[in-house]
Amino acid sequence: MIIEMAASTFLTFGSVTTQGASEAAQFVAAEAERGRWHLQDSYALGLGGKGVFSELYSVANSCLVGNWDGYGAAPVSADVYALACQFLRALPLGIAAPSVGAEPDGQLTLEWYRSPRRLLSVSISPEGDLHYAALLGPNRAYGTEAFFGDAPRTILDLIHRVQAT
Amino acid sequence: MTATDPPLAVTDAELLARFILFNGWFRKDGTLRQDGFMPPPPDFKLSVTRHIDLSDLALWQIGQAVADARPAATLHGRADLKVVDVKRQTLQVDAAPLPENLNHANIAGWPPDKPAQKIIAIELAASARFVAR
Amino acid sequence: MRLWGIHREIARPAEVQRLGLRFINRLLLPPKYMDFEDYLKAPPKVPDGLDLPFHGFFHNETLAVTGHPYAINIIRTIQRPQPPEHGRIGIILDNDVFTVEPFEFQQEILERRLAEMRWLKNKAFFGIISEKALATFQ
Repeated sequence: MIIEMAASTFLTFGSVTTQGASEAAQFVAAEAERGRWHLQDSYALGLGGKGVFSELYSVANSCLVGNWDGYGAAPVSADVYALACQFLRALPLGIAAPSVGAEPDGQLTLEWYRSPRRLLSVSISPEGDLHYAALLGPNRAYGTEAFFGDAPRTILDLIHRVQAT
Repeated sequence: MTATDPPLAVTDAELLARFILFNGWFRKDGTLRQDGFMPPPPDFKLSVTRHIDLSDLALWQIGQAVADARPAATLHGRADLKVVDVKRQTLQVDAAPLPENLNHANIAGWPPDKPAQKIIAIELAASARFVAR
Repeated sequence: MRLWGIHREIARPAEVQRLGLRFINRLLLPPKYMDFEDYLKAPPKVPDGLDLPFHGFFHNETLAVTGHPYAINIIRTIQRPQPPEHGRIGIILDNDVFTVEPFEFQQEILERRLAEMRWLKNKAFFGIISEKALATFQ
């Protein structure tokens, strides 16, 4: 119940606070990050505990050098890796863990998968765009959402639809 | 063109192979991720090999040559897909023979928009079959 | 608002996607003072049966304002003594009223929203602190 309420609040309002530059604001941000990471480390609630960040690092590391796919793929940049980390941290606690991949243009992908015709793939661009495409049986959804620190509602909705029984 | 060269016109009944060198392109359940079917910029031509006239051994040799061109690469397998499934996504298959691979072809005609490319790649991955090495 | 006007002129943003009003206050407790209930209306509580002193706490609530596009993010935490305030713990009260409902660019809409958000922020702030804490601000 608490997790559902937290998720619905995040769906509606997101989790990013108004930015602050004061010493107090920076202290609050650091404490919040520490608390969030602590929860992210848990297997039950966090993507950290489920190994997603390790997988992200492993994939990015495998694609550091160009032509990692044998067809001339572009390397995955540090910017893309950092944005992917940020996006994962912006996801609500308790959300299903995605698997990580990479595309020939050097963008990292996060995939929520139930079956070949029930999945969502999100590409992280170096400019901070989230390009998504989902197959939900006979239905298709695809588009682009800008990432400003909050996980976009469109993408959260699609994750829930992919995971729904 | 010699008598042994594959015909330039690609028919709907043909099978195409996309060699998989990256282990993130197939899932543990043996299905394929869309990542391996995304066309690379800037020309958005997806490189494949036509099956016609090739034995399984010859096909794997071509795949191994692709892997050998990249240091420490592993040929994990290939994705087999039908030309008819490619055309169903309003793409085209153009024969593009190379000296080292006369059966080489490109899947072209992709939309320029990335999300539109992704949804097509997801459909191709869903219709393709992973054949492990 | 002056800086906002300059930003609008230079960047010409198409739409406001998020508007936030955030106030952070820091209450310095007297030296070695740890009775938070004197300063906070809803102080942190140790679990029943565990009579142990606090080392720290971080409470974060996000409240939805029903019928309006606003939410309030309230954070209460403590900061260990910082030089030069040796021995004095600080209670941090962080109220962030925000909206992610996009709106048209009109000055009166912006001013009305800010006024509403300021009212909410004050309501939250005065609902958190005690009379004793309020006296420290005067």
